Amino acid sequence: MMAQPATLASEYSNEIPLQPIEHRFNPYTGIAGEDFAVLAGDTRSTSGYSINTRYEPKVFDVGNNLLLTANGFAADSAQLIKVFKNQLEWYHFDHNKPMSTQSAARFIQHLLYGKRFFPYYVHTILGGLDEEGKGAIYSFDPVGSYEREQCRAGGAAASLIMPFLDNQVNFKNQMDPASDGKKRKPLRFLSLEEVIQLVRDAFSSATERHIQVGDGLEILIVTKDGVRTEYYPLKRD
Amino acid sequence: MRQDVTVVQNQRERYPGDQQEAREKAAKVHHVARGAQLGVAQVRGVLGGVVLCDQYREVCNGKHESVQEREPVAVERAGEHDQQKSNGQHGRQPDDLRERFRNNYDNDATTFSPTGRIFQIEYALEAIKQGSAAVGITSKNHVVLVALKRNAEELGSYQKKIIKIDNHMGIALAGLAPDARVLSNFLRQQAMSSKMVFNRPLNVAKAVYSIADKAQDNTQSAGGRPYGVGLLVAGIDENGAHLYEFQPSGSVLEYVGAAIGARSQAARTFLERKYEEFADATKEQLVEYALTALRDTLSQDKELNSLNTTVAVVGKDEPFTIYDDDDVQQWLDRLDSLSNARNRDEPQPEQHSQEQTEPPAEQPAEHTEQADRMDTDE
Amino acid sequence: MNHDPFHWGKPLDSVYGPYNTQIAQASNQRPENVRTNAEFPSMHTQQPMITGTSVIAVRYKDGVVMAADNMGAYGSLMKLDDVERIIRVGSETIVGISGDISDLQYLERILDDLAVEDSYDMEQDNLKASYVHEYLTRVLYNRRSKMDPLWNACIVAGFDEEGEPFMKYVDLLGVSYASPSLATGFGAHLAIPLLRQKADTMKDVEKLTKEDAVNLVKDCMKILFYRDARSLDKYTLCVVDKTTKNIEFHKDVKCEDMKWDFAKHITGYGLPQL
Repeated sequence: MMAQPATLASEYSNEIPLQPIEHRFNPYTGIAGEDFAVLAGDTRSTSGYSINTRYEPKVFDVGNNLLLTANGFAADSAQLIKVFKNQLEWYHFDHNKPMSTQSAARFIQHLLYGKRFFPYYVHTILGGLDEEGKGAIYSFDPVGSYEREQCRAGGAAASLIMPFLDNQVNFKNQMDPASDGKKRKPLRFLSLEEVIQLVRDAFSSATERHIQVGDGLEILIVTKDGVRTEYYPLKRD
Repeated sequence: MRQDVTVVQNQRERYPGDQQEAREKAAKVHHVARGAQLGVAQVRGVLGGVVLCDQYREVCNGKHESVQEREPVAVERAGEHDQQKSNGQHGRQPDDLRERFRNNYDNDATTFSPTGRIFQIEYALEAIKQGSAAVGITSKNHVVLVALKRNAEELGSYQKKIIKIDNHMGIALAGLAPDARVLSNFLRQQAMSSKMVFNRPLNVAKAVYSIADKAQDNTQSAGGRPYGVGLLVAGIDENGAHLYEFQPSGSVLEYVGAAIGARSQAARTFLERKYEEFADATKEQLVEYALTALRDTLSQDKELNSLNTTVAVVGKDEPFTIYDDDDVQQWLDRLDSLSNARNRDEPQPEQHSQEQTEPPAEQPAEHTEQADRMDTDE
Repeated sequence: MNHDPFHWGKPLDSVYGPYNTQIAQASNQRPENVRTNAEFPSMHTQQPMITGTSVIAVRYKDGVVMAADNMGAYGSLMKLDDVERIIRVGSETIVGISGDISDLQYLERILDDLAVEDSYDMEQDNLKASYVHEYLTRVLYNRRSKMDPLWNACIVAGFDEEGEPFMKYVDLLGVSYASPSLATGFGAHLAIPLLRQKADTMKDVEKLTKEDAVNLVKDCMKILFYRDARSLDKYTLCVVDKTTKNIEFHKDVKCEDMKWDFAKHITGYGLPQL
């Protein structure tokens, strides 16, 4: 999967065509609450077995109370976020108002689908507040299919984290103890404290089991008062 | 209506020896024009340059077969009476006029007059003077723009006089607002591409020279026209705070304080008196100076209010912010009075002694005076 | 064998007849200049030719130390032994480049154009290292998006907008990242662990003096020369220092105090080939 290191001489293979992408599936998690949304990612950047850097932020506050992360091929991710930020500025020039979360989601679909035949190799998550002030998470595939969700994990340890979130956020397979296993546990919004603890647990567990996860955890939290960032160290092994 | 046509033209080359006569006739024509009770704007002379010439050309091109139908028309170039051959006869035939008084040097922006001038550019500069005033001032760390917004009529909105380009840059305009929109759009693209390619806020000098080059192109190509708008470009970059004036001629100068638009000379006079204090002024003081200068451009019956005043501030650690409507009141409150100083002194000497708590900001200006109807800002 | 690289890997004309460049209108010309029988099909870079090996760089409390050796290897042949792979851009930036040497020289040219273009502006010293890095990232990313990459990995160092030391990596895919210790190519495997012993976090960097950083980089260059078969013991070492606001260039630095006693035990080097 890794691109050939640029400095290896050509004698070892007859021809090494360009591998135009380099996977960087760092995990990221988005969870929507009643009046907040969080988007979190670890800060490690890897290629193959190498750790490029221990701190490379991947979740961005792009303005207008929107959080954005695009995970997969790092250069595409940087480009997508850059283009989005710039287009957001033009939206302000043209319309003189902030972009709503649902508009941003539809717009990201167009950015992704616009490169349908040479896609941005990323899985994108958008976090924000909806028209009613409720937390909203939108997740996208590389060519722009998207839906709004209560929670989503993606990237390297998605398969480790997502079942955990299903259970802890959407109460999948949880029953009401009083019902003798016949009634499902009723859904409720989690508090911000619960969500942050959940995210920290998810990432420290993923760090134990997945080699590309570690170094640091950056959690961005959006509420009606704006965006704030929290950083927690993870194991650096 | 009066049935005469009065034309003053530059025809020295045709009548080289006639300067003395020309001067006399010019004076006479001027007199006649006044006697003809032209509209205020027309008598104000230079102000009417563009419009009057167009009316004149319509006559010459035979759009109006009968000159008799026309209102009195005067074409006048301030300060050039000595070069002008005049003819003030009434009731000339159009053919005759066409032949003798056509200005051969203002058909396009690429032709010099024999005196080394390019009339189309000068007309463009006149268009700026018809726009409402805008004032800009810099200190070491801030640049402030203020401008007077007009509204064409009570039911209509006020014009947009200040446009944001980027977080570190903005412009104030006087003249043809659509031209300014095109230029500001270009600047926005430049700023955006600088951010995209270099992650670098667009250098202010670079920005203003980029539009100056566009303006200059228009002065060297036939078939187009120069931009009809003047801009004050305010911005912060790695070299500090900057204020530039952009003109349709393509000329660009940097200022510590500048004013453009109608009656901006009054503002400049104020700025010239105070400029030494600008460098170390706070942001608040800077706005006060700018508003005071703007106030001086007001005509008799007008005063600054939250509807017709717009303020913008940009600083080293402060993104370009425009204050309009209710947001501008905080800045107006810092002024002792909102009406033109000269006009204020005359009618209110007693009131001054009585009470100083006269809030003059209340009623929005209701009378739109005829003079400002010439506005090309729209 | 035909020694013209353009004919490598192509079917022999004598056996198969001339190459049919009409296939898919193949041409290495711009479409408007397409000749009927272009000699070669349109080609994109698919592999590097002459290559430079690792560039390594580390932050210390007042700046950056960077080093890159002077070799250009053509496969296993030492084709060039005096290439300068750390280039200056303007007065505040250096770029260390590994990978294809011809692409290096192309980058050298466009970065020089950039500096010249910038010097036309009225003010001086406007081209900060952070701007150069962003530009380079754009260039490399756009070229990879055309599937015609510039086959390089670069480290940009110098001063940023605030006059603070700057150091960031970017490669042929347009991937970029910053870290207290950076290395390209083999260095990413051999030098990074050594560099991270002294400069893993910004806290470590605060404690690292210029002298220590220079010695650390010199040690790494020595290790690389021991183990990387495509490296040279002659290299350029640069120091970006904010206290002097200067970028020092030390050319023709030699690896010192090397021990090659063990070599005589190695078959084919000291011992005769079996």
